[in-house]
Amino acid sequence: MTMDSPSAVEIELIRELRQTLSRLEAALSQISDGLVITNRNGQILWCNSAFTRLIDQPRLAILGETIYDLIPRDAEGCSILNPSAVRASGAKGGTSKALICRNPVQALAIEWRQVFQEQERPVIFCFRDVSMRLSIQELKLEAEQSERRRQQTESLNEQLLHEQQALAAKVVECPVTGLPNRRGLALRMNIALAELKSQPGQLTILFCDLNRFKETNDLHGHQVGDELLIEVARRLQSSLRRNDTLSRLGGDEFVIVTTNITNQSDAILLAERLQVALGEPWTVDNQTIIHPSMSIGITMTTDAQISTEELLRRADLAMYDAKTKKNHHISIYETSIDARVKQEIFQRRQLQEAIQEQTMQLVFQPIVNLKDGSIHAVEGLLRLRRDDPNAMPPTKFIPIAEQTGLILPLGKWVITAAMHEIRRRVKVGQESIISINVSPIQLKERGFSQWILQRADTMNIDPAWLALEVTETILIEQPELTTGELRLLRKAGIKVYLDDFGTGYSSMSWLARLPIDAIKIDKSFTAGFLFDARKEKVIRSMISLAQELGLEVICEGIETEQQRQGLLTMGSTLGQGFLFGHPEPVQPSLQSGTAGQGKSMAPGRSP
Amino acid sequence: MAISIAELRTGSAPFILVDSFGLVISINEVFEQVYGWSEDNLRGRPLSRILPGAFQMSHQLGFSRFQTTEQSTILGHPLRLKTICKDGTEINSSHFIVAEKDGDRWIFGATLTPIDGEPDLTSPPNPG
Repeated sequence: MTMDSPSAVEIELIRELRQTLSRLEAALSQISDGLVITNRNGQILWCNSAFTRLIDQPRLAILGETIYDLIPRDAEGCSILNPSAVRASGAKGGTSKALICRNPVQALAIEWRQVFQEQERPVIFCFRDVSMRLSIQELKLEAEQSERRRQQTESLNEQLLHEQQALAAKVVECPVTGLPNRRGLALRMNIALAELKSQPGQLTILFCDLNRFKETNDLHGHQVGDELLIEVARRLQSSLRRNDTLSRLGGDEFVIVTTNITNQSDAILLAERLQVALGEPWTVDNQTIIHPSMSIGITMTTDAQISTEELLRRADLAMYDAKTKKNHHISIYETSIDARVKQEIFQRRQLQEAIQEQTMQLVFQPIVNLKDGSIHAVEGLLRLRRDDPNAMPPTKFIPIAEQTGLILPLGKWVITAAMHEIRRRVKVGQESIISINVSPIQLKERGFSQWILQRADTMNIDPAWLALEVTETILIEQPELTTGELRLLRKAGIKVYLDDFGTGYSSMSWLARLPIDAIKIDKSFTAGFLFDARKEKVIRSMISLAQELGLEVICEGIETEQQRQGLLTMGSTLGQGFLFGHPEPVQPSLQSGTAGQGKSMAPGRSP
Repeated sequence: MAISIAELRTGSAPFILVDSFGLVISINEVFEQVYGWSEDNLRGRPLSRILPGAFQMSHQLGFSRFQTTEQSTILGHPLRLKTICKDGTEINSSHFIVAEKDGDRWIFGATLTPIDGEPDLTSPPNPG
């Protein structure tokens, strides 16, 4: 069967219709809204250029495909159009809004309507980019409107609550810095991982945490803290490339996502560049100068399957590791960090539990007169858990306590416990000086000396029974602050011992200037002087100098009778070590009246 | 140098000739064998008869645009599309379309070579 050729009229009509269609399509291709016509099942029959740009696919490739499979996903990774809702909306059509995973994040307003006049009921969709209109103010306004509606009718309460929650979930911007927040960061990371799937490359995350930000907040208030965060954001952003993403995770944490780095050394270079940019002095109220600094943890991956949570966890762990470094606060994630940090977290928890549950105890080791073994003083040493041989030793928990700031409550507990012991001993007529170790962090705490003296007053003890052992480092590094505190304490009668003497700076020249009563010569000298002529000369010089300055000398780590004799011969009169007693929960010599090898004991030196 | 309709017609691939209104003028024997249509089935019928429903609207619009502007992005290079057989099945095929003036009217010749697999999503945009 064949068809007749069109008549002249039909030809003219066809030409006119074709021209009309052509012009209409040209017009539709000019508009910025994405337009799509689908059949009732959502299969695409036609779309304009704006829609192909929105989904980034050529038109030929999408004809016949289902629109619901092609449109981008929202911030939660869910479809932004619900087929059931579209079908159910009928001739009235419907609208919705969605944020989609783009960089920058894109906000879409979607409208649809079924063409009921046609038997096949095609559906016309319109996608409008409303990103420019999306602002926190707008979201707030929407939330306020929701609130008003909620007040108007109780029956709509539940539905409006959901709306508010949905709005809050769509905020992807930090209100302080204007940077992407945690949600915005997750979106960007998801995009980067998706790109990694289609094109192999390297994704690098830099987790930045400001050092001592809490101090700034505490000292200058949150307003200044917020201004600092804005300045930090500005400085970091200025050191990044345009397609790098800087986000604020919360608090003083910033995260950078970059795909411009291919190796670890470049990642470290970037981190160093960021630290330099951040480190420029910043003036508060035209007076105080702050030197911001930060620790940076880095993780890199080529694995497109890795989750954003895992990447952030790794970068966070590396940052935690970087915090523990003394100078170069940069660390790259490696699997060994996992175990190390987990161990540290476990230890920190153990320490916190010990503080909360008050399971700590002081043990006491005598400091004796080397001539007759009489007790001169006892050193109170902190143990974490009573009667637990597996508890963390002080060499481990003290550094953790100092890093985490737990040293402050811990230190106060030790001082209080020492005062309780002093009071107990006075009560039973076994008075003795109790010395305790004080961390540099405690000494730097404002009002430290005042607190001790008030405590002693409250507990009704004579401060002269207390001695504080400090290390020379803090005295030399911050002499004005620390010597001032120590002078106040000495004035009230508290003794100050310089601990671990000989292990730090060239201490001799400093001795005359420091507000101390005694030096404790480090056990490393005691252990070796019998066989090492040099050490013997050093000890002899230390003892001689200290005596000339009117300071007492306590030699630590005495374990043998030969050491005791040798030190006595060199002029040392006081000593401490296993020869006279191990650290014990209750000082045995106080009960027996002897120290160490059964030597008779003279009463402790009266303060 | 551009391939002519005559060259396409003399090749071994399924061939179809369409007039300026989009109506089929003729097909070759290979076309009949591959897609099951006879020339009588198609002669004088709209070309959209051998196109899947989802492609018809775009085909008409593209055809209209070409008629009005004489501009096209689909001519002279292979396109991966689906072709409807007489029995209703769809076959993925590579369409190579050329246009020539016949007097003051355009005619269109195309080879439609069956291919395996799904349509290539990297095909150039904008039919017509």
